[in-house]
Amino acid sequence: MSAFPYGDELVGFLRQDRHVSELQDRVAKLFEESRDDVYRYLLTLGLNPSRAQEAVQEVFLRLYGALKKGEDIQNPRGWVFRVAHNHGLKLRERQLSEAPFDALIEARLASKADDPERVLLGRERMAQFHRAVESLSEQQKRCLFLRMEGLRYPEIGAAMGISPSAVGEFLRRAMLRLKKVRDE
Amino acid sequence: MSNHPEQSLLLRYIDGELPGRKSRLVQQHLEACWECRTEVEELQATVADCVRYRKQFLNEALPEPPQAWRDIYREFDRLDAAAVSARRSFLPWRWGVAAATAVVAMAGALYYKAHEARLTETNLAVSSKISEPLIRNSAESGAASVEVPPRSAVPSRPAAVVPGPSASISDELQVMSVLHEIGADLGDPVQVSLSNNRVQVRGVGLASARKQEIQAALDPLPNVAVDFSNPTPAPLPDDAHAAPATVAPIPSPAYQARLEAQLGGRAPVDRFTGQVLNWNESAMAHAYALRLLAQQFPSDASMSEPDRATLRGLARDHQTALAAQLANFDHALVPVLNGLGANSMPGTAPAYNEWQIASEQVFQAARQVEVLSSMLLGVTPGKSADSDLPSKLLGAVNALRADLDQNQRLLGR
Repeated sequence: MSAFPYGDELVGFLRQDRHVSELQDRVAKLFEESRDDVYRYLLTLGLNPSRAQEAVQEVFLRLYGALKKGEDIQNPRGWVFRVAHNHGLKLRERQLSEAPFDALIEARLASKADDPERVLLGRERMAQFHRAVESLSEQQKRCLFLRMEGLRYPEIGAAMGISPSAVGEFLRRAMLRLKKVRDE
Repeated sequence: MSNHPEQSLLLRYIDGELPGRKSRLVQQHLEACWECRTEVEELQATVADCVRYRKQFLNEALPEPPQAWRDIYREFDRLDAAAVSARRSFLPWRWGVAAATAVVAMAGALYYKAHEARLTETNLAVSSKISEPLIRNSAESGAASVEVPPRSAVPSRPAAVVPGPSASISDELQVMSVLHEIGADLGDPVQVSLSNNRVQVRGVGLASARKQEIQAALDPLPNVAVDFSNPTPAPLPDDAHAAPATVAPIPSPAYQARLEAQLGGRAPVDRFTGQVLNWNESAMAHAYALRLLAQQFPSDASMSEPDRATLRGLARDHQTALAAQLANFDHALVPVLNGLGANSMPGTAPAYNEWQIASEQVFQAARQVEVLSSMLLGVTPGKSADSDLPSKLLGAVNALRADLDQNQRLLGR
């Protein structure tokens, strides 16, 4: 029994409080680092900006809830993208009438056409590369975008419900097509 | 590795997805093979294009988030508060079911009493007051007052020691003991009654796993009929409606700022609130169970010694569990109340001679603690601005302590 007047209950309570604070800091740090990446990923999935932003916050709150419940999450960033992918697909089904991702990209691309800073990929080549990305199958595209975000094959497979070797095959085909842009 | 590795193998190699041995084989091959090394370099160049595409093109071409990002810490707190709120909304349901169970069981007992009186002239007369409710509660939420009518000294049913073809109180007590052992007397919608010479156990809305557990526990007992299929709809008693059916958004209670100052912020207050709600939930579950025992067996004077020992053992278990929750209040809630300037004299309990009547007092006191603490912590709409709330709550805790002490003495006799 603690000599502190609040007793052992309060000691346990304060310990739990510290644990929750640490958890919040952890998730907040990941949110700070990754929210723009997740947001962009959801845009590439076809969500409109406001819905994508809302979904990002929802996903990080889910992560907080899962960790608080004691779920063992080895790679929180991978977990976030997996949940964002599945949540995004559901949201996308509800907004079929809204502007598609490609139209948004093309419009923005046109407005940036005269930007002299974008020298690493020329406008034409960038447009070609983008068109090549757009020409990939949905699964190749998903694998590619998730790989761009740093997910490993098993994590991508878990998000998409396919095996890691299938991820490898989709990525190989995607890379083959994108490589042609360089060759042209 | 004599043959050239396939492109997919090379991609997996540069992505670090190959197991160690295979990766070393590919590496050795690449050191020796210009063609494959060139292939890998081209793949790496495409990877670099992807990186640039993501960093420069997507970042620039895709629209910015339409709004500033919300403060995630505030969202965490909102989530935590919602969890507390959800727990709160769960409580009235459970307690309501328990209350409904108590009423149905009580109605069964009353029916049995009336039926029994008609059957045998040698049985002691049943007071005409038996159809009146034993307890009358104020309908006002949180201000439940109890009026305990004079209780008939007549034992409701004759006790039987040896189980026979007709179920007896002994059988019923055995059933209640078994249900107690598996915790089915703490909020599970299970009712026990004696009818048609059987101990009837009826469950309403139980999960199938729980049904199986209860069925398995009761199987060895004689004269028991279990029925999970045709639940009898039971009206909720008035006091089950006392708590709101839906929970309003958490208000800013008058004490929120002072509680935050005392406990160190909003999140600690939310967690403290969760703790208090948990203790209340447990306390009320045991208070209901204790009350149900008292109502089902309003007198144990004419019982056999083993039956009386069984009944009082069950009651003592609930009494002990309630005392444990009171200790939690003493350790954590009372210092907080003192910090809020609460002032209350030690509680005194009216002197009763029977533990059954004292158990009703315990129930009412526990309920008063639950209602007042919920109001103070802002999880129940109420008079949270009441400047006497901490003192009233402290008084309710003291009253609960006094009632529990008295009940413990009576049960120990």
